[in-house]
Amino acid sequence: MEKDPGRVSSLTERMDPTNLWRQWYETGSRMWTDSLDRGGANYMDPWGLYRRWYEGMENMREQTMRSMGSIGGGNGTDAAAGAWQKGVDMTMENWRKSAENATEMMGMAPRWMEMLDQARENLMAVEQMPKDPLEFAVHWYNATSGPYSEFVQDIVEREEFLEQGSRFLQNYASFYKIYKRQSEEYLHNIQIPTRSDITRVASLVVALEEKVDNIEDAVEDMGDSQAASLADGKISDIEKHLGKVEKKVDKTEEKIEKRLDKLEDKLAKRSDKANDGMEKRLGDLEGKLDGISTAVDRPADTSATDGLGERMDRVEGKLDAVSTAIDQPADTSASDSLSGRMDEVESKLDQVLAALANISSNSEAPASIPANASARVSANASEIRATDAARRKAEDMNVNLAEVNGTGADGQITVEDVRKKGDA
Amino acid sequence: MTEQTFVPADTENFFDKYSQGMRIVMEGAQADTGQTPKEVVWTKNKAKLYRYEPSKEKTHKTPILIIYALINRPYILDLMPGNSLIEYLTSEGFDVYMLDWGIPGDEDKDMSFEHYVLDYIPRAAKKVMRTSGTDDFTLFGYCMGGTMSAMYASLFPDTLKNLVLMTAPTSFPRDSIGLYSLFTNDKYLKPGLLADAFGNIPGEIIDTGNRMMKPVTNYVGTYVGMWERLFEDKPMEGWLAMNKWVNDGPPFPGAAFKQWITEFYQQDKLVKGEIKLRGRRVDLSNIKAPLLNIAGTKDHICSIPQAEATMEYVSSEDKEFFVQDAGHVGLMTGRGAKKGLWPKINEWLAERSNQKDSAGHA
Repeated sequence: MEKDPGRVSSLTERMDPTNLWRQWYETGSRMWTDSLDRGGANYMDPWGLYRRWYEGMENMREQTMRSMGSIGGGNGTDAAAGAWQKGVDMTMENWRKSAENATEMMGMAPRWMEMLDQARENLMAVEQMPKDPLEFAVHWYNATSGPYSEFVQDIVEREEFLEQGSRFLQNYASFYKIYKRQSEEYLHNIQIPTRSDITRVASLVVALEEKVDNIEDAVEDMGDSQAASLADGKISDIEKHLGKVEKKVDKTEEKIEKRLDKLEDKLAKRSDKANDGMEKRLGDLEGKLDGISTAVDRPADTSATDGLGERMDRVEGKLDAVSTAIDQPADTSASDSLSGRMDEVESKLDQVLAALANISSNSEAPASIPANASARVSANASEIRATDAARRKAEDMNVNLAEVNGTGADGQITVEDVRKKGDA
Repeated sequence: MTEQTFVPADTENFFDKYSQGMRIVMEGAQADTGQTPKEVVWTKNKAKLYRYEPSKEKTHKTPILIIYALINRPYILDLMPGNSLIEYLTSEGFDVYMLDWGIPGDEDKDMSFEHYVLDYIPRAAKKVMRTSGTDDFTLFGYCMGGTMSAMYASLFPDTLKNLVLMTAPTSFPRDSIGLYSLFTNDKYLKPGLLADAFGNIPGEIIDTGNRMMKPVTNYVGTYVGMWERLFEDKPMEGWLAMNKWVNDGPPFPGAAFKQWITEFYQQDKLVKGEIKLRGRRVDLSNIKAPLLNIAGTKDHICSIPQAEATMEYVSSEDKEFFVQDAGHVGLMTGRGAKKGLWPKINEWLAERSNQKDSAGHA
């Protein structure tokens, strides 16, 4: 929207900070003057007291410096004492004037005079006269600051001081606010960026930084929570799990080894049983053969032998009769019959022999079944009897199998034997 | 009898010193302050979080976070080598951090205690613990920073290992706050009007209010002391550093100033449990951490009753009120502090801080 140039010019003139400042100064001065007039005093500024006091010190210092030349050639102590006395007199004179001018309205004259008396007393009580301006000033401060501080304290606590101070501050604040606003408008009208504009940009930057900081905080929190959960729970959980897994692996390994050992033991036992069985059967067969042999060689039943002898006798008798008949071939049928019977006997004997042969062959055949196992066992026995698992374990544990006592079947070395040896 | 004259023996030397003194008066004191090595570990707006001597071995695991006032610069705690509480604590093996509020700009006029206590301090505390790798920390509040620390401790007690409050007012009874009862009286002081007019309250106005507590000493005595030191060839560094600090007050953000005057000085709400920050009630009885509460008999900024009140309201079983015969600042700097307060703080904190394990791991 286009503004009226005349109006802008008028506004600009009115809002010119320099004009405004001048106006405020005049208004402020009037306020103080009015205030003082109402109080009936010429000068009421609370700070004036301090200024007069400080001026007193300055005057004193200047006077002292001026007097140095005139007293420089005399006795030092007398000169210092003289300067001190002169300084005190001047100070008191200055302060009296201050009192006349400054304290009437506040009704502080009696208090002011009291302070002066105390200060004078302190000043004159100085035992060691100051020898140079610095010492002079320090003594002066030490002697007067106490009473003066109390006096100022009394003033500061008075309603009049607080009221005036408050009014001044509020007036200044109000002016500052108006001045600031008018300046802003003035600069805005002449198209110059103002302090508020810069502040707005700064606020945006601060807000942006706030967001970045919040993001950083959130990211850190996320990282912390992950780290914390890992540190506090998950790592330990994983460690626990790993521990459990490790234990399980150990147990499984042990179980496998045990089972392998058992299997080996079983195999060994089975081979042993098989051997035993075969041996037993062989023994049985041997016994039977022996029995047969005995029976053959030395018939246990003499009656049977007797019977056989009788039968043999009868066979001989019959053979004799046959021979007689042959010699006197009267009846050939009888010799045929004997011959047939002899064939029958012969056949039966063949069967017995065949049976014996069969028994003999059967007694050899079972022995051939465990032949491999027994061959292996006997082969190992010739070296070291140990299971394959025990050999692997011995290799792992660097154990010499020759030094291990086998507790397995037939003294075979088991994994357990190797472990025990290794642990020992 | 030895002859004496009133004329300075060495006129040239006299005028040299005089010009030197006048230069200080006219131009202000110049001094190198805050020299303990530090790194910035976090910033937010104008605030900076410093960690001191980060590479130095820390024998005490629990870190210390120092919170200072809004109305003065915090380098008073690290004034100069040999006269620095921070340097001392660091040399004793503590892991020291300090939150410097910085100098607020016009854009910060709306900053209030809500921002400082609920946003800045908790975030700084997290940074401290994260940087030091701990789960808790010691909070050390000085002056108004102590009041803010007490509020923080009430609202966030969980990670607080220890609380040290130094000249920290929590109670503001009118009969115990001296001239402040008049200066801050709502009859004479309208904080809202000032905040509205200035935005941030100029440091000079705050400084004037404080100096008027002892006007003669502050406006005159200080400079008498300076001349005395100059002419007696005493070391000036301490005086210069202190004077620089005294005249270096930052502006007070308007919103916080309004709260400070109205809710604390005029209405004394904190000990009544009536301070609410974004709806969260500040209850000092929530403080259960061990407490070292320090005050000075000559302190006219925070009187003894103002600091001592804290003892009555906190729930800490382990609490000690430690009083020194010193003023608001003298309590913490200078020869007296080195012999009295600093060793006390060291001893108290060492007993209550986690130590590094024997393997040297934090």
